[in-house]
Amino acid sequence: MTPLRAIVADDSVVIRQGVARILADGGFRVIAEARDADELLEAVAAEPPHLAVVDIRMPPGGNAGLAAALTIRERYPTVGVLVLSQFLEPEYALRLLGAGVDRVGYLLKDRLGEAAELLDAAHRVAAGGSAVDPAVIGELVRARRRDDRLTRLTDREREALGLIAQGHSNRAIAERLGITTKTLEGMSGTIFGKLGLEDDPDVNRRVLAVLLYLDGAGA
Amino acid sequence: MSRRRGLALAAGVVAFAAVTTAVGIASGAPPQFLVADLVTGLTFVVAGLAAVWLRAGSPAGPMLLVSGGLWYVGSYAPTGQPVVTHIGFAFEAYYDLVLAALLLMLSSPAQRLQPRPLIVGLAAATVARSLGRLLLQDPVRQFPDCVGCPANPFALWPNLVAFEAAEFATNLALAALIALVGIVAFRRLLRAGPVFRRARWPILIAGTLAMGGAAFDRFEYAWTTATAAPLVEVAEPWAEALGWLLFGLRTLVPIGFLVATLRLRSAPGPLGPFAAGLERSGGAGTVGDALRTALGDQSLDLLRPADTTTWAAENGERVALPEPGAGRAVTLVGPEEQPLAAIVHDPALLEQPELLEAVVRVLRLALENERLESELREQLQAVTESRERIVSAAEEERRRVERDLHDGAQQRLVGVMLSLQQARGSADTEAVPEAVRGQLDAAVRETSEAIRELRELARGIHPAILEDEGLGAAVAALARRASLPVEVVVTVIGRLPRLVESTAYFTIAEALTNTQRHARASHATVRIAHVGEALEVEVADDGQGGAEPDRGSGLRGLTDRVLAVGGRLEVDSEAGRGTRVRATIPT
Repeated sequence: MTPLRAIVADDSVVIRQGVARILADGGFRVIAEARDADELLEAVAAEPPHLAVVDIRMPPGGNAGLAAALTIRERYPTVGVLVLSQFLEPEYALRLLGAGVDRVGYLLKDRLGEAAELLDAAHRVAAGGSAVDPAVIGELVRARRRDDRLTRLTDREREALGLIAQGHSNRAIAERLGITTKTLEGMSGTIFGKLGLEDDPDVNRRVLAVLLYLDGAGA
Repeated sequence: MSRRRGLALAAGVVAFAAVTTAVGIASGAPPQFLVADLVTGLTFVVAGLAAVWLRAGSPAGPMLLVSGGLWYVGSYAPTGQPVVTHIGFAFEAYYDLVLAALLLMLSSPAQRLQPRPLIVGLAAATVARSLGRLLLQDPVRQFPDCVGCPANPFALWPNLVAFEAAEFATNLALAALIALVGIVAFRRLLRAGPVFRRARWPILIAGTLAMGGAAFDRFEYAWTTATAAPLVEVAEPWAEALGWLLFGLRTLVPIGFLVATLRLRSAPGPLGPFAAGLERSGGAGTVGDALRTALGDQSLDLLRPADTTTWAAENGERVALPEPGAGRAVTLVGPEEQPLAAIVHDPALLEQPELLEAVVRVLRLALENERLESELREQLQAVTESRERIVSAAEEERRRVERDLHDGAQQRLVGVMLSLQQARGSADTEAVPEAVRGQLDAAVRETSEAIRELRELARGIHPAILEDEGLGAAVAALARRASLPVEVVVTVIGRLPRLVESTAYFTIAEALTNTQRHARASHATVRIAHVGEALEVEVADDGQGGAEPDRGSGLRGLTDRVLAVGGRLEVDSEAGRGTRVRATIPT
């Protein structure tokens, strides 16, 4: 199997190389490193990768990384974009996700301490799925915690909801919860029913529905 | 003249009058003549004392007192005692000389004894008449049939022809010169400005009449000497009435002086209307008008110091102060070394020192007030501007610190964490002791925690989302993190100036913090809306209320922050009825 191609963009050389090393160790082939938004866009144009890992704050200034990530998502639908951010605010993540949650991820930089988490997210995004930092989902859930419908969920159901929102696959969620996939499917039907959402067999659409619900748009 | 000296002089004159009256009684003078003589002289004394009291710096007081003393000298002429009779006869009417001098002085705007030749001529004629009467006349030898006439012990060259010639000449000269004094005084009165005329007309009219009477007196004397016939043929009782009239005219001078002095003193004070005029006036021009009205001097100019040497007139023109002797008087308002203004006015106003002083005092208060007010305004403006600059700079500083934390310290910590994590990967062999691997794990966890804490710190200092996504998103994030349900209603479209957004943001943040800490509320609402040219943000809760802006440092700081950008903060926190904090921030 040909290794997945990846590009790493960060103005800090230590972070760039550190991330590239984790990706390489995890089976990616890092084909380019970029120090700023322009280099990133050039590299992507030269050879569209399966995955671009992008620092949200990059030269030439402000959140140029986020802007570049949005550009990539718009121009290269086949490129997965994983944004590394220092901001917990869900607003950034939701802007990045936009209308769809395929091939996109938003991870806080403090996750870089766990290579497995970064790789897990990288693989999900590269494979066409989504990865939203648990802390960001936590923020959204916290904001909705007083919602009547959310309080109808059991603790276990709430945990499953968070994992769904983060973009994990059914199998991964079932594994984490220590239940069978079948049981999880039943549980998610209950969760969606309690929230008044329509269950969707498509994972990405399901994630989006949950995120929109958590952001308040589906309320 | 000091009041004490004035009193002493007056006492001397009164004593002299008493002696004179006693001598008059002893020599059998008619009582009505004695009384009239006594009263006339005392009139001068009273006016003189009044002048000493009310016009301490003026020579009018002593001059009037001396006239009173000289008045009684003439009263010795009819006593029949050889020495005093002839001294009295020779030195009578010297008061006319003093009164003429007084009149010339008071009619001169500069209070000077002018014209000099006139007064010198008058003095010379008066002295010449005295010498003629003293040295050339001896009634015993010249009028042998004069029964009871006392001999003149001073008559060195008794000669009737020479005496009569001298009498004629000197009285004629005196008549002419005294008449001239009256004319000069009257013409000066007619030509004077309104201030001067208002102040002096009683004394100058009285003086002119008195001089007229005295001139008639002297002329009649000269006429009679020359023709041995009366000038005016009138039958009794008119002759006697005319005598009394001429006699009484002299008293018009002290009476006129008294009237003029007391009139000015008791004149209704113009200060009330002046103060009202000042109150109405905004600029220097109208202050000048108020002054002109109050002092009755239309020629008055109000000058303000333009720089160290020149002055600015009311129309803004640069002018110099008038030279001394230019016929204008200058009164400075305020300290001499640094006057607030100069009033250039008719010198006659100096005759009303009380009025002038009072007006200057009010004006000084008004000008000082005006100066302080404008200083205060400037200071306030400067303070307001500097406060806004300080807040703006602090805001910029917060943003810089936030950026530095994210792009500097936090990036480095992430780098450290990655290195640690790599080291941990490499250490995953049997060769590395378990403890070291555990320590590396702990180091990675701690670093991750440090990054999280740094993120919270940076967000508290200045949230990046406020600058990136605007007030609405930043406030939504605030609401999301609040420990109670917060409804956010934003009706602002687009971005606002940085300082406006950050002031609104921190106001809401602080108010929400207060709500969560103290209000015991179950719900809060944040409203952000445009109201006219301002942004209005409101944080309301359903808590216990009772928040006091002056007590809690949070609300105090909030007020300062909002005031600093020219806004205002209202806190409505009645106990038991929730708290509502509303900031209005100009955009």
